[in-house]
Amino acid sequence: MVQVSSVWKQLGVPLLVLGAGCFVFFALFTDVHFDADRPHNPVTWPSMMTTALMAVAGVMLLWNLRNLWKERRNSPGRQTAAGTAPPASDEIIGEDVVAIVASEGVEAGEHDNRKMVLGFLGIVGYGVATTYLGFAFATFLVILYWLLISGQRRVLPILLTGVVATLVFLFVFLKMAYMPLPKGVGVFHDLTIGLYRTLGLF
Amino acid sequence: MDIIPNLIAGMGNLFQVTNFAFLLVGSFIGIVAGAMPGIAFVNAMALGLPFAYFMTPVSAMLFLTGIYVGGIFGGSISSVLLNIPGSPGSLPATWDGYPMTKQGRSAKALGIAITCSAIGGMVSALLMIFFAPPFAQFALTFDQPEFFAATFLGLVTVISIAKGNMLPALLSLFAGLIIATIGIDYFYAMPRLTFGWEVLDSRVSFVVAMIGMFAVGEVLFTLTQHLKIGHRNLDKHTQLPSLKELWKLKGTIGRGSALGCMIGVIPGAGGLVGAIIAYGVEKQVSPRGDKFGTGVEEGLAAPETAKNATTGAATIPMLTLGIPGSAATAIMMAALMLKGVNPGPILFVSGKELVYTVFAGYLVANLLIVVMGLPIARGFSLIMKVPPAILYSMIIVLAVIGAFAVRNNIADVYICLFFGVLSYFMKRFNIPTTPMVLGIILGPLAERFYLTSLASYDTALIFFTRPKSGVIMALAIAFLLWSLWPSIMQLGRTIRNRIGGPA
Repeated sequence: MVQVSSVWKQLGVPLLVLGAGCFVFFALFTDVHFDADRPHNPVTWPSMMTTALMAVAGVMLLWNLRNLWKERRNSPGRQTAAGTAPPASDEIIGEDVVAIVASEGVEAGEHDNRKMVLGFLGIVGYGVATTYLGFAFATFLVILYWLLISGQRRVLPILLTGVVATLVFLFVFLKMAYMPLPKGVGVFHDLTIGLYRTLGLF
Repeated sequence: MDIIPNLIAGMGNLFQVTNFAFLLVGSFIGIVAGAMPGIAFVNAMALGLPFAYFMTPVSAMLFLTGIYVGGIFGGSISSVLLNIPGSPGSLPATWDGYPMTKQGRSAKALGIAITCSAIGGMVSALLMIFFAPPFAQFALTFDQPEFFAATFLGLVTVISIAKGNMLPALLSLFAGLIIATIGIDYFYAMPRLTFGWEVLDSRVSFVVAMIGMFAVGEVLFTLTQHLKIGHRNLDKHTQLPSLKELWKLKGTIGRGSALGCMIGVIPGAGGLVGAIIAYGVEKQVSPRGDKFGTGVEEGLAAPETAKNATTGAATIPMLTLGIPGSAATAIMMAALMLKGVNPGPILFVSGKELVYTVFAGYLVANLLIVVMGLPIARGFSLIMKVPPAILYSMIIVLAVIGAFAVRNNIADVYICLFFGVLSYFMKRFNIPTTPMVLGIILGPLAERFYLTSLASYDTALIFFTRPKSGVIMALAIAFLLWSLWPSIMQLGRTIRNRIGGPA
């Protein structure tokens, strides 16, 4: 049997890229105003690159369809490993190497989709919190959050790590580097200013 | 060429307290980060960028040089002791280094790794010192078509390295080149692909994209994996090889250095390719080749030498042409540009002090591997006790600070986080991220050189008819054919089999 996830991996990516390519073309030729009579205009280069991207995605789609067809023809029993492409050299530190060395002290595992969602929420939440709560409070909260979703459960070390790390970051980047880190809005702006004054950072 | 006097002046500059301290700190961070599985030295370099803001350009470059040189070696510590490559280039070190550990010879294995890495790095630094200035002088004669050809060569070689994974690498590269066109067009001042969002008018900063992909994406990827490092009693001793033992390895070290330097110059190749090729060559050449993989000294010395021998060589295109060929050199270029310094041939005229201090930094950083590698290897089990959760939360915060600091704009934080999520999915689907980053960096250069060449000379044939650009384009085509050759051969075999029928 050909796995559904394998089919999605092989066909989904090139199809998505082809769709994105069409969208980029549409955006280029509707949003950008240019003199079409000129041989070179603002869309010349992006169009060339988008055409190349779509061509690659097309070839990839055909290649993966061929692999899937071969896989289906050979199944059941003799499944080929045609589906997954080997990792690129710069990505080799990823799960494949972990799998290679799994017998020697490393437990390789599947990706935990629950943690993935929690990670995304944490990342997006940090961006939003930095805007509205300010850097200091957002950083303290994101450190606590990250430690919690990574499996840390001891309250005191978590709180201590959050406080100490936030203070170090504030000292280094505010006091030493004079970075105008976001202070938040409304009451959080005032709270951040108050915190900075208390810490002698202002 | 007054290379020696300039180098002496560079050494003087390097040994100023602040500069040397940053090199020292960078080397320490690099070795530790490289040694920790899950944190590649490139991630450490990306996270080092926010600190570059309050450093002088020289200090920032020395700091990053330290992380680069130290980090590319550091991966070997965990390769030898745990059989886990701390950085991609350290993968071959597991093949003979770890068997030595299993035989109770970890002290010797670490000693060989440290010494050979340092020698390879020193040879590469010397190559850079004596080769880069004349090359920069030559590059001063380049016009727009030559610069386009050089950029094109950079793009081609990046994808040609991704053998066996070419389509995903191409996809990543072209996506990066398209992302690079977002914002106000340089020639006609027209907004492109901004969808009315003013924050995109000023283009996607490659520094922001890079921090997102190498720092945030990596943390997300590691978070979702159940990676558990097994605890074991590590031999904390390190034994540097004697001169006699080194002399026995002279051929291996010589070949490793030469191969590393040659491969390092090729954009996109990097430490891993250099180390793997050196291992393969040594296996063929060595009389003990058939025993490779069982804990043979030559099998460890060759890739270790070659891996660090790529560092100086890889910096040559970035410094002389302003074309980074790897993620590490791209980060160094980003640091230079953040400080208002443009790398390229002119830098060798107007910024000699900076260039030669960096050269001196490469030489000394390789010596620091020996000095710092020993105690860090001894304290490795202590480093492994730091909970990864703490490190990853710090990485996220540093990434956000780094992204914000580029333009003091909160929008860059969102862009950085977006690239982090994108990078996560790319890794899940086995699409390499480095070609995309290089596409974002090289895209604006390629577009500018391409359009100005056409505006000046009216025809695209100019890239092939001018002698220098023609030679560079020929090189690019040769690289492309070289990378496509296995696929062409396979296709030929398939067709022959079809015609001839099943055997």
